Amino acid sequence: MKERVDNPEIRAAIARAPKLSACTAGLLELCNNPAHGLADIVRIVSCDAALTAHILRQANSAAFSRGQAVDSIDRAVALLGGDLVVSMAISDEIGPQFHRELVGYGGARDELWRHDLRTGLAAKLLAGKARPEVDADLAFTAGMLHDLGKAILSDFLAGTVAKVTAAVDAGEFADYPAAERAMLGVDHGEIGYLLARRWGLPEPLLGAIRYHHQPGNAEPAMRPLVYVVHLGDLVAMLGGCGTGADSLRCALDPQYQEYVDLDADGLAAIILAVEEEFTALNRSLFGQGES
Amino acid sequence: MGDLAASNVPGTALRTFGLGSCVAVVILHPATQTAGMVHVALPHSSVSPAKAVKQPGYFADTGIPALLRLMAGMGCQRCDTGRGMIVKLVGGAKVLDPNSLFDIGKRNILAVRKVLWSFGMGPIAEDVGGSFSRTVTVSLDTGRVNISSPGKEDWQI
Repeated sequence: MKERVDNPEIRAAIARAPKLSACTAGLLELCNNPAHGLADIVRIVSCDAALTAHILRQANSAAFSRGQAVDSIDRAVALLGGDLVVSMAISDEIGPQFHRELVGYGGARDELWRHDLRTGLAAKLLAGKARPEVDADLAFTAGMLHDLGKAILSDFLAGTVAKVTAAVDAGEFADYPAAERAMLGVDHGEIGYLLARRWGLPEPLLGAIRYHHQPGNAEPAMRPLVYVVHLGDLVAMLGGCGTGADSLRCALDPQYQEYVDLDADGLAAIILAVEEEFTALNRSLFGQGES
Repeated sequence: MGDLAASNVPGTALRTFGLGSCVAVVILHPATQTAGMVHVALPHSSVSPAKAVKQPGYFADTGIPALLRLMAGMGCQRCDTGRGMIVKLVGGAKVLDPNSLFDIGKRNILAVRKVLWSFGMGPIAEDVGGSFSRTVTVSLDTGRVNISSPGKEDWQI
């Protein structure tokens, strides 16, 4: 696949996007190393006073503290767990991107965040069903980041929602990302990839972000992770958590069966588990459940 | 997801947001001006009996009986026989998946129909399937079910 983006305005938007702090980049790099432990997370978080403060505040919130003061970052990270710490780092850093309304997709405020969190949770659960097995933390982070490109592409799709929706429903495009490519020469996966590469994210995350709608195009060694994120994305959509008009208007690649063991009952169990974990995590992060 | 509710207060509406493969089962009882809705996420409670106890609306096999019990408690007499009840179904969408490998929406619809049938009930209107999400609003005064979806004009059944 070509890497160039012809549209100069899209190129400029990628260049304008905020850079990642060393701390968040370190946490994302860490998930690429399956041998990492909580001590590694603590080491990285300790280098960032703002994130440390946020994590301590969170650990002392009603949802976690059980009335006992949590005053060390070690205990706070152990209490919250790696997933929550990584999602807080991502949210602190690129939160405005995640939480803003997606005008080009007809997605409301916070929809991208909820969709990404659910995709991350689904990917984490699917990681254990992949052949060969995929690291669960890597799958979670890849799921959290897979739709990064939408935050940028959305502005360029403004005003197209009704037209694209009708065209996809009429079968003029294979799916919504195919319509993005037809209109702008690039889809949100490619944009996300370019942004993540600029941030220097590890190779597996780049592959998952870039190919989550066309997992068969990923390098063979990366496919288990990419298929896990591909399926996690669709599980989030089936659960009613998409990002607007493109939700469910995405093709399932049936080749997933070569890389992930998932039958109908397994799918049902994952939908249920994602819902439960999402509700718990959302309550911890924002003090609210899902309606 | 998995919530169920009923109301007989004139002027109110019941709403559920963002149905993907989930199915909203709407049950109306015109004689008492009562409307109920359950947001079914999965076909069978065998996946998690514990979840079914905590939130019966999550599954077709436990959600529909729970809604009928709720409505019976609100004065909808003999509602479990289907007498005087009107049923509408919305949702059960899927991703673009020609081989139906991931079609949990269709399994939800089939399970819902089967449970309704066991009570001698069948839907008079449906808006199911397709590859788009739906937000459903039931008007108590008219019994109309409004459906909205990003990128489309609203429609009613």
